Amino acid sequence: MTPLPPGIRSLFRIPWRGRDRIRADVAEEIAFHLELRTKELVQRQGMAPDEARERARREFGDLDAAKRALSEADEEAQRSGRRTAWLRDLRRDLAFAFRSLRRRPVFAIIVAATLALGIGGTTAVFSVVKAVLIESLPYEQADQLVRVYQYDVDRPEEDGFVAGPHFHAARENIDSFQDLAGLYTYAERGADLTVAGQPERVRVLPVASGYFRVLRQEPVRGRTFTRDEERGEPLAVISERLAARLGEADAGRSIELDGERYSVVGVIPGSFEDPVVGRVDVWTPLDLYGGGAQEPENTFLSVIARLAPDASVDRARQELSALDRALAKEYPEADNLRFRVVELQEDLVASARPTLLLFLGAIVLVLLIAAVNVANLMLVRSLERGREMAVRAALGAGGGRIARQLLTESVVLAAAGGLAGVGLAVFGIDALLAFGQDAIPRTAQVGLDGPVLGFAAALTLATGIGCGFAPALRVARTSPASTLRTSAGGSSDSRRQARVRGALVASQVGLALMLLVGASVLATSVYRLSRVDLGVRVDDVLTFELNLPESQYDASARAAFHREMTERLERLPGVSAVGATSRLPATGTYHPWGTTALSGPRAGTDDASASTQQRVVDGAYFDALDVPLLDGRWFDTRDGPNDPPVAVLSESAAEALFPGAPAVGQRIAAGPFEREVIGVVGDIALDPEGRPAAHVYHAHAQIADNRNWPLQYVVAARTDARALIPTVRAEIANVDPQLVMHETETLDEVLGRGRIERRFAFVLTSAFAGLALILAVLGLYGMLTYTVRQRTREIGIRIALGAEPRRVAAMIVGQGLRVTAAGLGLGTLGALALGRVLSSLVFRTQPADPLILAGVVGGLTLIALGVALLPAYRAMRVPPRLALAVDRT
Amino acid sequence: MGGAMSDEPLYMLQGTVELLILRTLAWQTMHGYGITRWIRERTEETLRLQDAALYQALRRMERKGWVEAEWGVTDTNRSARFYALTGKGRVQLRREVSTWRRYVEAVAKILTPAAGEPAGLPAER
Repeated sequence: MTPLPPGIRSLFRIPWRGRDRIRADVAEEIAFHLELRTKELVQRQGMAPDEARERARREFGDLDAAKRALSEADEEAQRSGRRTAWLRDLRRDLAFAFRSLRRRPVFAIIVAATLALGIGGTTAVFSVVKAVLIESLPYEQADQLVRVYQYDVDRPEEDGFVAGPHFHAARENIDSFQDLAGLYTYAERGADLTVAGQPERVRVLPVASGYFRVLRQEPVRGRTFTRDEERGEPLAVISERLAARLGEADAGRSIELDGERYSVVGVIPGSFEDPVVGRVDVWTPLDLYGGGAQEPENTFLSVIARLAPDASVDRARQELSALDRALAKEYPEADNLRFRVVELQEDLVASARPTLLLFLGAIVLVLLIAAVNVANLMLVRSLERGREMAVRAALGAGGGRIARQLLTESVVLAAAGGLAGVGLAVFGIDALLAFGQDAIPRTAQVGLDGPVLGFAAALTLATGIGCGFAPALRVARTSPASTLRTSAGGSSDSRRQARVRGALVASQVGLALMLLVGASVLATSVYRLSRVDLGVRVDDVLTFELNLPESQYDASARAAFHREMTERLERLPGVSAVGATSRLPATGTYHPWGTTALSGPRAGTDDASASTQQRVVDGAYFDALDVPLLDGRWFDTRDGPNDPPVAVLSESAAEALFPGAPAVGQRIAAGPFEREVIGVVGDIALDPEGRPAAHVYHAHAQIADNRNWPLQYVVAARTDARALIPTVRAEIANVDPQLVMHETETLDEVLGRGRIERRFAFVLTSAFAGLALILAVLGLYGMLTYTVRQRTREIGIRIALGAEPRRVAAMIVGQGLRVTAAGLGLGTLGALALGRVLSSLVFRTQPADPLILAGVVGGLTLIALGVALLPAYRAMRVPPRLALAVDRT
Repeated sequence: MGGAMSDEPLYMLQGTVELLILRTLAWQTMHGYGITRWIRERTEETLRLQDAALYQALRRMERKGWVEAEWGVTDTNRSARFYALTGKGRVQLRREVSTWRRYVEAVAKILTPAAGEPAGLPAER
């Protein structure tokens, strides 16, 4: 404080003055000066007042300039003063925060760790959400990219592949598309690339000529394919990654795929990924003119397109629907096909969206629970420090100042938690990606980049302020005098505290309830999914694919090979049966051809056809998978290439084509193949969810000349399927050492992949729910323990006055149950709301299933009871005289 | 320069304003008018401080932390801004006084004739 001259008392001026105030002050100072000078001139030199005033003014100098200059100087001084004052206060607050946290390291660590979990988890999930749902695809002007499907009018919800002639028509006629391209994703095409004599499995994607143009990807070297080369020419465009492995010498020349030579014409940057399929090593030209490519019923292409700059998806839709009509007239046998177009990004992420949003919601709930826990802890601590704060306040720190100090402390804790959380997020992201690899698209772009870190920082700040808000507010409002006067734990103030704390814990319980219900619902869904009867044996079946290079095996060699292979493998020890199929069971739709009944009750009518799944099988396929034979017989040695062509129907296929009549002996046309039905077998599901589908089975030997069917072997083991792998491999090598077993997996692993999304959602939500439960339990326990401590005196008095200890214990338990009940009530409402979000993820389970809800509510109540027991027990044991003697400082 | 030394007040030489203000405030906390009056009276009207320059100087010195200002109420119930020396200001005053003394001694050495040099100032021409 400035020592003023004697006789002068201080005048309080507001520290922060607006511009007008500053100017007025300057004017006042100058006016005062002039006044005194005028007075001096009048008194000392006897001037007339007016003359004196004039003289004083002149002597001063340029008044206006001076006023301006001084005002500016004062404004600047105030600004910089405020800055330095702010910085000074901040430094002081930080020092204070660190000091007080160091005094209670346990508290600080618990808080920081709790927040680290919440912030880290949220950041990890957000990084995935951002990369998958928010960021646009990594292609130039990705919003112009669309996906084109064809669907059957009888089954409009199934998006399917596009047929050759329709693709050509779209390419020629749709003006809304500036470029259109097809890719072959029907079956995963891998090939064995011989690098330095060693075969290596690479991913091959056959594409149309416009493919790279659609995605605006220029080759790094060379060129891409032309229209004329869309005849399956032996050319290749390879990825830079592969080119690097091959070395400079080979890249420019040719490569050997599955024993055939392909000329490399171009190289694509290694960072490029196909939107549908992901990583690709080699692109080859599609054959858009050969055999099946011209069949209007043969749908086999995936199609992507780029919209013209002035076109919209709606316009494309209109054009395509006009084209539908024209094509239906031109190809009446395929008049059930319609085009469908959808934005590519939307198409890719739509399936993952519900899962990811669920996670985001769940982890935010966990963060909220953690934050509430921390807020509670801070509130309790601020009560304990009530005296310390009151003394500070009495010594001159304003309520606002102290509140700011507490907020700073809270933000510092949050920052510590945030830093640790970002570290955790690194592991969290790795875990999310590793675990959900097949369920989450576009994982290549996920990472801890700038925007994600920014999000983490903002979240940390918000959490720090949010958690510290309640105690800071309380301190700012309390008058120091009242706190100093009473000992902590007295009267209405602490009752209100108790209510606030109770409300906080109730909210934790409610949030935990929501998460637990969500996890339980998902668990039930996963369980029900796992019990679906797929119609096949799932345990202890080994599967792998064998690909026979066309250059070494012609049709009859292939037929002979597979027949021999299945028989040889069946003779191995530990094997009960071996078969092969063009597509493993319950792995989705494959070759859905229209099949017509040529005889029987429906023949010749409009209902004679049905869409059925076609499968090519060899060996004891049905036997290996425990598929029952319902009528007739299976394929055997009577069904060779020169014997009458036959087929086996699944039960629902028989029912669809020959209702009410025995199917054996009837004739059908499966696509272009006429067959006689020799047997009926049990139904096999189409996908892991158990959707039924009609199947028509062909004997491989009789259809081997149609194309080179890659067959998946199913080896039924007597005990452990995986243990058979070495013997099987050895046996295959005995027949042809060049062959490689591809994708060797057990059948339950293969089928598990189809359920991965649900299981992923379940596991993660359960982890979150478990975390939430722990936090809520801690919150409840903390609250009750604190209550007992605070009310020790009251309890002691009650006991001293004769109250039964059991009543006291009941009081504590009652408090716990009341808070829990409030939380459960709120949580139930929340869980019902959550149910709607879950509905797209659950399988044969009602999200708002009352049984599940009741179960969780009951469980939490029991847990709450258990949690309340220890504090209640402690309350019972408070000796009265101890309680009376306690004075809290 | 013609004629004898006049009695016109001299305005402050560059660089001495702050020294004089600091010394004045070292005697007593004053408001702005008080400072100019003090200097005028102590130097018997020889040195005069341009009023506008005074206040500018005071602001400068406030910024450098040598001087603190506070509003007070005089006994005539007028509010005025009073200036006081700070600890930093005291240190600065000592420094400037020492510098000034060295300056004065150096100048004196120039003006004082050494042995063998002509005395007195050159005559008017």
